[in-house]
Amino acid sequence: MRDPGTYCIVRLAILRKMFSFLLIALLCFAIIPNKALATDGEPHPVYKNPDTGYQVILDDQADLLTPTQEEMLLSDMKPITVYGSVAFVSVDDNSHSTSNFARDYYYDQFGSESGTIFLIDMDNRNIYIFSHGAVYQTITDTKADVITDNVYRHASDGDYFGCAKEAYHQIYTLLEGGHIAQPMKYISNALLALILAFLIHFGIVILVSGSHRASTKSILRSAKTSFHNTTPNIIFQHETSRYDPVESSSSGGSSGGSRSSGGGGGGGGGHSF
Amino acid sequence: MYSCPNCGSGMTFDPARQALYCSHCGTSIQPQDQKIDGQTIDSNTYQTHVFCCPHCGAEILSTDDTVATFCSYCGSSVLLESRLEEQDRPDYVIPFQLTKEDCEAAYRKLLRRAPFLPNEMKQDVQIQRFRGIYMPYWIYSFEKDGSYSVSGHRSRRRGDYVYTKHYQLQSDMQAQCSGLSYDASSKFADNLSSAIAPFDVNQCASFTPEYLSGFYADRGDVHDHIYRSDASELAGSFIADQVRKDPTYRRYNVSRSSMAGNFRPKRTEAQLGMFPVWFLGCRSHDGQHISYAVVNGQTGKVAADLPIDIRKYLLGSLLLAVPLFFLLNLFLTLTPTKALVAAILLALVSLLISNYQLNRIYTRELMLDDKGLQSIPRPQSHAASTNRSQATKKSSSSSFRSSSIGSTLLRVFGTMAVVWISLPLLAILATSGIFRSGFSIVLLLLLWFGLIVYLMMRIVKRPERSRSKYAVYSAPMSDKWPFLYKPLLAAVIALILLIWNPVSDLYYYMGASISLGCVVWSLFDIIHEHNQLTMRKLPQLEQRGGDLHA
Repeated sequence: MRDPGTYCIVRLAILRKMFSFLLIALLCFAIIPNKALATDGEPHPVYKNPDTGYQVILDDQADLLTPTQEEMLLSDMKPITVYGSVAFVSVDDNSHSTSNFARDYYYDQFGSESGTIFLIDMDNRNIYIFSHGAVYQTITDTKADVITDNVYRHASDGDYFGCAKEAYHQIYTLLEGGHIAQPMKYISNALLALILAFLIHFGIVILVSGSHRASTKSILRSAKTSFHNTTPNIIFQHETSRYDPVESSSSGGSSGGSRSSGGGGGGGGGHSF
Repeated sequence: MYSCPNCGSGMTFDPARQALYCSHCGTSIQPQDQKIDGQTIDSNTYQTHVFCCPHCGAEILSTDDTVATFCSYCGSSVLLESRLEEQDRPDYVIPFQLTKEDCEAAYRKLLRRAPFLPNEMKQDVQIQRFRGIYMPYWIYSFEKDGSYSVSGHRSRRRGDYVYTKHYQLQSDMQAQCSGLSYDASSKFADNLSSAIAPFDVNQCASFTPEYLSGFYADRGDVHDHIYRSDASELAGSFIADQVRKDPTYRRYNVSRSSMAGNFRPKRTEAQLGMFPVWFLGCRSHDGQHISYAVVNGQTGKVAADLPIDIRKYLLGSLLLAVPLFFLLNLFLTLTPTKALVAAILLALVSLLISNYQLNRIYTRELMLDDKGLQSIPRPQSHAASTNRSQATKKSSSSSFRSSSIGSTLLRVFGTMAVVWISLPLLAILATSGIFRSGFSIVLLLLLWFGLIVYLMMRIVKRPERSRSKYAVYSAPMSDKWPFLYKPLLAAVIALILLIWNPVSDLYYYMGASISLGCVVWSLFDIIHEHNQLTMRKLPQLEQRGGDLHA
């Protein structure tokens, strides 16, 4: 039988071990990357533009591309680094919306510098382009929508490489000041312009018709009117009171403003596939 | 016909000279100075030729026996049958101030702004058929004097309490409002007469038949009590406004509601006047419809039925669409979702316009927008009379409903229920990814807001006054459905696609195209409805059938 002193020392040692284990577990938990970003390990830049310092990241978590395709895609992505950093990301497990994932991923990798990422979200079956900074001046939300509209069919057919390649090609074309095909824009706008023209023209017809009845004011103006009134005799009737507390000026304090998501100056657009 | 005292030729009233003028020798005489054979100033009647149209039965009067070769009301070119008759002498006349040339110039100015008009309405031959007609008008005069009393109050704050002192304000008044005029001819549509109003009664002269020389006159057939309440209400609102303008009454916060009914005039008088109107009836190319144009012969104000020539309208719309297309390309890129949202919005606009037009047609066909015409007992079809009584019943029952507390509570709770149910739906829609862009979410919010405002407006009781004369009655849904299903279909197709959210853009664009196609289809209906309102059926004033609303 152990004496009480030895018993206390053993218990203290066990407690210390448990505490150490708990501490290590907590540290491990803190070190493991956030599942929200779904990144299995830190992605590394595969290319850095020596002139601008902008980088290329290829993070094919969903394993959609072969090594050869990754090499070929890299050659399409490199020219974009003149304007900003560029990333290709694919995921097959995403508990967030595609747009939020793309935004978070972008700011984690590139911070506030100019750039764009193209994301293929296999979980939500969405493709998404997110841009920031100088690149966002050209690849706006609308342009991102147009590009994803133009390339989503490749993704629907399972040609993810073709989809990404075409997307980067169109991004680069726009950054170079070129134009990309937007056939539906013109067709939709033509139809919309036609209907708006019909409606506006009808509005003009109603305005021109001018069969609006004369106003009361104009009728009375053309009539003969006279009015004489004596100074009123004011008779007090009764008094009533109503409880209406004066609001304190300090009572409307705000409990703090909203936190910025850090995404100011960025945006994007996408398409399901 | 008045003979020239100089040469014996016929004299007519010349608006430019404001006198009877002999075009043969240049003599001019003031109408009041002219002595006419067989007519005395004190007489309560005067003698005229009554011209009657054998086609529509319309009658117009003239002091001349010159043959009338066309009817202004149905537009037919026939020799009007003439007979001599004694007419009640009106009290006043406003002489024509505008010559026929002035009237034509005013009308042409309107035509220049309306390139969509059918060609037949722009032809010189047609425009030259403007006819100067003295239209009968009831001129109402009101007086109110004596003491009156209204309640007012003044409030002041002391600490957390607001103290209000209530007062009675008593005073004496003398108010007069005369010259409120309403047309007394059932043939003259109220919407046209109210559009060229007002006439300046300060220029009224005592009636003498000489003013009619060279012009025609219409016979008054609407009793003076028909518009008396409208005129009395107008005079009452004038007096109330004057009282409210008084600084003392303003200081004591005298509200409009406390004055309600307090200023209804005591003494009322109605006198008959003849007011100058240039009148034109223009038949459509099929000869089955007629459009009217009227010009105020005193002020030159023009009102006209302006139908649309569909080919010209399409051409004009296409020309307008070109700059719009380039403008849209500058800032708008319609993604498939946005195209569908735009289709829904346009479908709703089209639905609202079409619904309003159909209600107006219904109101017009049942003559509910013309008190004068309603007051004339005429033979009419059983269906029309049934519809009319139903519409009147519906109107009275709806006003009863709106005043019932139970119904109001039901509407309040209904609106609250819609708000509570739609809010989570709205949140789901906004976050579902269907509306990715802020633009679409804003549109969605606007639609929701519009629905809530509409429901809230239905809660608020409408003032009965708006129902009195110019109200637009709601047509039965069975009548409107053949037209309204098109924009509804457009909205439903677009909404289904938005909810379905297919992957392929092809579905979106096909859906948007079909939806917008339905909108275009309904726009053609709107044009057709406009033409129904502006091209009236030929009047059959003394016969069964046709459109009595001339």
